[in-house]
Amino acid sequence: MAEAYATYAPGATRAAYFLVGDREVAHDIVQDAFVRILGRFGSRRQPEKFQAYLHQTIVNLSRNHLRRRGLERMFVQRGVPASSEPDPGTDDEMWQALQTLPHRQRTALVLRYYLDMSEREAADAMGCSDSAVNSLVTRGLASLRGQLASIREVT
Amino acid sequence: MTTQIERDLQAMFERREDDVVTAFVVPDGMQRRIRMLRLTYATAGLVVVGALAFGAITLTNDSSGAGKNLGPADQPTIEPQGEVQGNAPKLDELVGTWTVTGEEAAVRFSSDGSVAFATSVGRLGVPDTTGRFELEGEVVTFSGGCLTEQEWQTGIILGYNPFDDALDVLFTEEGCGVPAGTFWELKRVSE
Repeated sequence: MAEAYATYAPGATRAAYFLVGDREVAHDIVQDAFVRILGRFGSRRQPEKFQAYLHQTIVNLSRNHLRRRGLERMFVQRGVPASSEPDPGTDDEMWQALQTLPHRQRTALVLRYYLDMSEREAADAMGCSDSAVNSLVTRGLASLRGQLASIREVT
Repeated sequence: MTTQIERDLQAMFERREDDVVTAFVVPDGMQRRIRMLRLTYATAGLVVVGALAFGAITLTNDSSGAGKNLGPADQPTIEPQGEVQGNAPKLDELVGTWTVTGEEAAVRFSSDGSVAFATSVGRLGVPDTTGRFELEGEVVTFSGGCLTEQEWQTGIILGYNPFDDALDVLFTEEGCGVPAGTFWELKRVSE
């Protein structure tokens, strides 16, 4: 377990951070993901799929977190992460724009451009089709352009 | 070909990577949580064995349907023994033969909508229980079998994990001797 944690936790935590916009929540999500995966006997049968399963679990837990807290609506309305401690990205236009996207668009962008997944891999992690990922990425990038233009107009 | 917005996005990810400092050691308490979860699954397994044994005895003693299974008021309700992970399965993902991890139980979902239960894959040819199933999103409904011409399980949530080709099953309502809260992990043995 220690080896798996040292290998996969840093990248997974950063991915979770980009998904939920909160460092503490990202740490909690990754720990929960490791507990769920390693706590299940069946999931250890195919260790070569550990990373893929970890990413899928993180996507699911991030989605659950945002649903539970209603954070996605808050992001859309306010455009800032609802964190007990301000995250350092608040002065980063691209960061702000990413946080305003609907969760599925943001997830598709994080999987494709941060974790460098193929459309097929991202589709597996998100539980949807390749074409759905393609569409989410296209719409996400278009939204980012629009958001950045709006932010720059204001400033 | 990479567009400017894609390059800007990747550059932001690189800039913000250092926002998160991750220790390379397993956090305190994580190993304990993992052990607790394994214990939970082991306990759930024992509950399922008991439930299956109860169901089998009921079926054996009551093939005419004269004596029904315990009603909802008579059956103990337990807390969920596991959490469903994965996605709602498509029909072609559900169809196939599955074994219940850690238990002497096998299930076969067929593309014609029939379902069979037995204590092993080899016994699916002469199953203990047969019936019909309908899949709607993440919920599957069984009819026939245990209580003829009645729905005997309506609250069953499925979560399919394509990486392990595993199916999480959570019974949210009791029926046919299987208590609410029972959690199964199914592993596919054939298409």
